[in-house]
Formats: sequence, C-alpha cells, structure tokens
Amino acid sequence: MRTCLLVVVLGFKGESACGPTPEIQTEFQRAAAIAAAVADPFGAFDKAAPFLAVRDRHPDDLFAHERYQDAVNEYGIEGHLRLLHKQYKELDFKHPGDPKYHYLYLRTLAGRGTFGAIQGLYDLLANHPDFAPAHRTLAEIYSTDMFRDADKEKLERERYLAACPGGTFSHWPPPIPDPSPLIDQAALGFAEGASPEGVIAMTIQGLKEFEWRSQRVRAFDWYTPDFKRQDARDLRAQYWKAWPIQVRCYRKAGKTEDADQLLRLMNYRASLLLNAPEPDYWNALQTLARLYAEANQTERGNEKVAQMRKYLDAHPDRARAEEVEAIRKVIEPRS
Amino acid sequence: MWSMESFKARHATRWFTRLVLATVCCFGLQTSALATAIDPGPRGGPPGAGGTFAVLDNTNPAANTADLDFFAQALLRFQEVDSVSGTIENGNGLGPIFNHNSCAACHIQPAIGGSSPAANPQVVNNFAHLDGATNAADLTKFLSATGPIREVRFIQNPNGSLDGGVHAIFSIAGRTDAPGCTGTILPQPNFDQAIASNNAIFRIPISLFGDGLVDMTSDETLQLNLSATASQRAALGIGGRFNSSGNDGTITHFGWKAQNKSLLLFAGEAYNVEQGVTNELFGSDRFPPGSSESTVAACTFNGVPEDATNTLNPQALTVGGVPNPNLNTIHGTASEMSSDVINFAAFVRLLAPPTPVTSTSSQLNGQKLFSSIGCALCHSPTLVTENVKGGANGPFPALQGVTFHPYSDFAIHHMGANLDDGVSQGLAGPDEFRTAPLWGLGQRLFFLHDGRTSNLLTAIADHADSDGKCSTLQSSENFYINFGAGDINFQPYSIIQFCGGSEANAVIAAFNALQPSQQQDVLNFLRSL
Repeated sequence: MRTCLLVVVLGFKGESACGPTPEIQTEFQRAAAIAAAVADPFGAFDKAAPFLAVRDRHPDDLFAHERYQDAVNEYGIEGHLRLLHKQYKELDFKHPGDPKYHYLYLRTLAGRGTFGAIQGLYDLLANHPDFAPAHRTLAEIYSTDMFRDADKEKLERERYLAACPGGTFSHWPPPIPDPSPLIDQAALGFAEGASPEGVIAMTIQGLKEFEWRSQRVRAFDWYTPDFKRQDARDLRAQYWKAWPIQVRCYRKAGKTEDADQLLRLMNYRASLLLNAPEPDYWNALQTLARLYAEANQTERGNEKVAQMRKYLDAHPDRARAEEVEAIRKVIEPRS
Repeated sequence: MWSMESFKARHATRWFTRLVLATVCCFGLQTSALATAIDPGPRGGPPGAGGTFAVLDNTNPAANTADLDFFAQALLRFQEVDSVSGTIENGNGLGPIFNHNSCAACHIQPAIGGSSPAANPQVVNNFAHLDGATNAADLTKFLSATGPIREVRFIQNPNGSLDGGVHAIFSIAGRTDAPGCTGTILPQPNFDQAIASNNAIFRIPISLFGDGLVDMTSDETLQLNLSATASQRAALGIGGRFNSSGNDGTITHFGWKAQNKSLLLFAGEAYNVEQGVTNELFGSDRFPPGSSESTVAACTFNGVPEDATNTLNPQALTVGGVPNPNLNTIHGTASEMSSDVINFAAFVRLLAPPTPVTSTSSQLNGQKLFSSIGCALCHSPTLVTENVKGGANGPFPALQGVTFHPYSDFAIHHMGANLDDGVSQGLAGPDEFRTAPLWGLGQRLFFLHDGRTSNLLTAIADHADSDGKCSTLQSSENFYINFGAGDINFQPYSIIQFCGGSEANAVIAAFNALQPSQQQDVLNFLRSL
C-alpha cells in the first residue's frame, strides 16, 4: 500500500520507486566503468559526466538524478558541489510543489549544510509522509560519524524498508582519495639521480594531489573541525617535504636564484608556524638549517642555528640540543 | 552639492579663460628652460611616514592603549599573505584572479601604508609562477622589475560597451593549492591585444597615509574649502566638484577618482579586486567575464565569504610574535575577532599622515610659489577634521579637530587628454581625477594614476594639455547637461568627445613661466612633503 502511494506521489512512469530499473542499473555500471578509466585525479567533471549523461537520458528518473549527485559528491570539490547545488535549486524552482525535485535539492545540502538538509527533509515528509527516499536519505545521514543518531537512523531505516522492502542504503560520506605517493617518489627519484625538472614536476603534482585530498575534506561537514585541522596540518607537512626537494633540484640544475627565492619563502612560512603544534616549527627550522648547510650558506645557516637555540631556550630538550649541535658542526668547519 | 548653474557658469568662464591663456601656455611650454630645473628625486633618510598617531584617545588612557594595540594588530593583519585556501600562507582566499597576495606588498613605500616600492614584487617575486602557477601572458609591456606595481583596467568590452573594470593580471591556475584549475580553463586576459588597441589603462597603489583624517573630515568642510576659492579657480579655468555616493548623495573621498565612500568599502573592494578574497562587503568570487560554469566550478575552492568576522580566535600569534593563548577560543581582542577588512580599514584609519621636512629657504620659497601660481587652489594645503563623529562620545577622539595638510581638496577635476584614462567611476568621467594628495610626495617613487613617470617635472607637465585636444568621455549616467559652450548629452553607455582640456592648464602655464630657479624651489618644496 505504501509503495503504491509512493509511486503515485513520485509520479513515476513505470519505473520502480524503490530502486533503479535494471536497464538504468546497467547504465550506471557502464558509467562507473567510464568514470574509473578517467586518469586525471582532478577530473571531477570527466568522472561525473557519464552519470550526467545517464541522468540526461532519463530526466524523470529519481535514481538517475541521485546517482549523478553521488558522483559529484564522490569526485568533486567546492566548486563542483556548489554547481550541483545551483543546478538542483534551478530544477526545484522549475518544478514548484514537486516533492521529487525538492527532495533532490535538499539532497545536495547533505554533507554541505547537513542540518539544513535534515530540517528540509522532515518538512518535506510532513507534507509528503510517504516519500520514501527522504526516509532513506535521513537514515544515511544519521549513520555517519558526524551526525550519528542510532535511534533516528533505525526509525528512518524502518520507515524506508516498510515502503521498499529489501531497499538498500548508501554509505556516506563518500571516500577521501588516498594520500599521494608522488612526493615520496620524488625524493627517491632525486636520490637516484632523476632529472631535477622531472622531480620538481613530480613534487608539484604530488602537492596538488594532497591539496585535492584536503579539498575533499574541507568542502564537507561530514568531518569534525579537529579532523579538518589535522588534515590541514598533514598537508602542510607535505609542503615541508616537497620544498626541500625542490630547493635541492634547483641547486642541482644550477638555478641558485630559484633555490634562494624558495628558501626566502620557506623562511617566511616557517615564521608562521611558531604557534603550530609541535614539532612543526622546529622541523621547519631544522630543514632550513640543513639546506643552508648543504650549500655552504654559512651565514644563513648560523642564523637558523641561532633561531633553533632561541627556541630551545624557551623549550629545553636534550635531543634537540644535540641536533642543533650536529647541524652547527656541519656549518662551522666551513665558516 | 553640485549645481547645474554653477557648472554652466564655470565652464563658460573656463572656455574664455582658456582661450586667453592658451598662448601663454604654449609659450611657456616652448620657452621656459625646464631642463635647468631638476627633480631632486625621492627624499632619502628615514621614512617620513608609517605608524600611528602618538595619541588616539585623549579622554581615556585605557581606551588609548587599546586603540594603539588595535593599530599594532591591524598592522600585522595588513601584512598577511594569502594563498588559495590558507594552506601555503596563513591568509585564505587568494584568487581565482588577483594582482597581488598581500596589502602591504603594494602599500609599502616608504613604509607600510604607502605606495609602490622600487622593486616591483609582481615581477621580482615571480608571481606568474609562484607555487607552481602557470601564468604565461607576456606582461613586459606594462610591468617591470623597477617599475610600479600596476593593475589593469579595460576601457571597453569586446562588444564596444563600457567596461572600466579591473582585469586581474594573475590567476591561480597551476598553483599547487589550486588543483584542477589550469591555465587552459582560466587564462589571463590578452593584455597585448588590449594595449595594442589602446583599450588598457593602468592604476598604481595609492598612498594611504593620513586617510583616517580624510575620513573624519566632514562634507561641509570639504564643500566650504572648495567654495572658498571658487572665484580664484574660475579665473584660472579651474572647476572641481565632488564625486558622491549614488545612494545618499554624500561625498566620496577615496581612490584615484574619489569613487569610494569609506575606508571600509575601499578595503573590502580592494581585498576582493586586488587579491580575490571574498569578504563581508564584496562576497562574490571574481572570474573573468564570460567564464563558463565549468571554469567557475573547477577554480572555486572555498566557501564564501573567505574573510569574515571570527567567532573563534584564528590568530596563531600575538603582536609580539608569541603564541596566542586564545587561539581557537571565543576570547580575543577586537582585532583578532574582526575580519581582515575591518582590520585593514582600522589600520588605514589610524595610519598617521606623512611628516614634511619643509625647512630650507628654497623649500619655503617653493611653498609660497606653489600657492601663488595656483597649485594650492586644488592641492589644498590645510583641512581640519571636526567633531563630526561625536567628539569624546565617538571613536578615536584625539583625531577629531585635527588640522592636517593633505594638499588636496578631494574634489574631482577635468585633467584633459594627457591623463584621460577612458574610465568613469561614479560621477567622475574619464578625464576627471581626484586631486592627488601630495603629502608624502617627497618619498613617492611613481607619479600619476598609472605610475607613468618617476619624474616630478613630467608629472607636472602631464597635468596640462593643449586646448585642441579632446578627451573621450564615456558615461553610464543618463542625464543631460547644458555646458553653455555646447550641449553634452550623457546617455547610458554613451561615448562622446569632450574638448574642455585640463583644468590645470593655466596653472601649469604659470609654472612653466617661472624662472628655472623658482621651478626648482617648487620641486624642492614638493620633495619636502
């Protein structure tokens, strides 16, 4: 009975209200294969495009819309998510009073302004109590770490399954890309004598991939502020791994001006870490001191050693004192 | 307020005066031995500017200390460097298109708050390729390592309609913190083409010293000041009117064409236009005109506004450079909890004016000549702030009732074809510019709105044009003015010719008619400011 009502409410033309038709399911599989073949790690549009094509072939199919939305959520960052929201806001305005399009609009808020999505979905259900997909989406939201509510999840899950026996649920949030291996590979490549230009390009690509990963975290409210802070810190650590590689590459390529310019930037950026959690600031000073020592830039190296000692005065640490001494010994015989 | 009748009368007088003076002007330009007077160049020694006032609140010592602390913290914020999402530099929101990544980098000569430095950081810091950026456009036609920092405006859109907006020089394309945003989808404008077709004009950073005093000067004072010399100006063909807010009709003071109403608006707009940072005043990311949805999506990385009031203290360091114990708490100073633009505006508001060193007999004589030949009719030496903000009841009471020496009337004037830049802003037409305040001139490196010269003599000469020259007037206003000497119909997006010449022609003729030693005195005086 509930299913019948749902079909009436959704106004579907023959397709199941509880899941995609087998034909569309097949199209999803094909689209997923195309998306998986996109090599560009930042190719959110290219990866979502096959799902957009399915949606455009089935413009009235709820599940085609949902799958396209899921693809953008899976591959996109701020700009793509904002565009998705805009697209569904327009569709919602074009279909006033249609719960399907309002639901799809609200669904673009999930993970972006999730409290707003929850409120909107409840409002929608108040007017359309048999709109089963809203129950499913609520259950999915309540299953996430950030918005976990076991009782509400169970309730919404039951309501959905009552309307759609055997219905399935998605796992939210979508995955975060794995950390890029490129910066470590670049370090290895440099040690093995790879061309400086190639190594620098690899570090840049690696940093972009880390930035992209971070964007995939930052754009969503699925993650706690602490998680985001740690992610930002991890990202910064990658920069501090990549920059020394770049400095060494520039030097190896005879581009000492480029090396010195990057070192100047690194010095400025190190100063911003003074209040960062341990050991970020210390590590930055140490990195700079070693880079100067490597190039016999004694004066600069001694400046860093002095800064390290000053920091040690405020934060005594025997092991670090020995590190400073070791760096000083590298610098001093040449001075 | 601007009056149609006075406008008509002024222009009628101007045409007549100009006719009389045209010969004098030409004669002066041809015969005066300008070569013997030499711009002494930027004054050396310590910066005669930078920092705040000795006292900001003379009614409450605690408030005074707090105000001074506010300035010190705002000064730090003014120096913040931005990256796209705050992952490389602490500042957040750079781009998608921008001219620079820090306020202080442009406003730095001779001290923070000033104008363009000797070494252009847009070039020497390799902005085009910073952090992996792939900006490929040839910028050498308008940027150089020893030239001024510049922004570019286009006069017209490709379809011939008026543009006038800033076309940012750099984009974030290729930067490591802008993954997926490439130069292919976010290219730089075609500057070469715009320059070749005379469609590009330039502006340089404006000096901000003393702007808080200007902000605290009432409209009434400015109007009285302008009115006081009306007849003298009319005799020399000088007009002058104020740019004003289209909303409330009050005078707007700031910017090369006095287009900005307040320091806060100025700060908010500059943060958005020059650095690409969205804020609570200007909340939209700027993309090049015609950018596709996919470009916008691929090159958008942050929620908006990127700069906003802080409910949790974001400042990692205190003024002393020590770790801030209130980081990520709800506790903090006004500066720490305020947005960047509030801090920028506060910094400028509390930034003291330059200190002149006019003392030698040559400089003092030059000061007299500056007035006697008519320069001071627009470059007003003295204004006074008033208790318009409530006196002791208002903020920064020590800045109220202060006499200051900006050498500007803050009015806009027709400057003729030599300076006409084809851009209208508010009421200011293409050849109308705010009288540039001359305080701090002694240590400025680049002159005029586009920084075309480092030589004072050239800057002075360019104030004048010959009467035969016409300016291209463009207006987005829709009104009709009877000039007396000819009707000019201002229509939306009209492009018309105006043959009024520069209001400074007579004064420049008078300068040119001075003996070389007198001209030198004037130059020496200007370099003492």
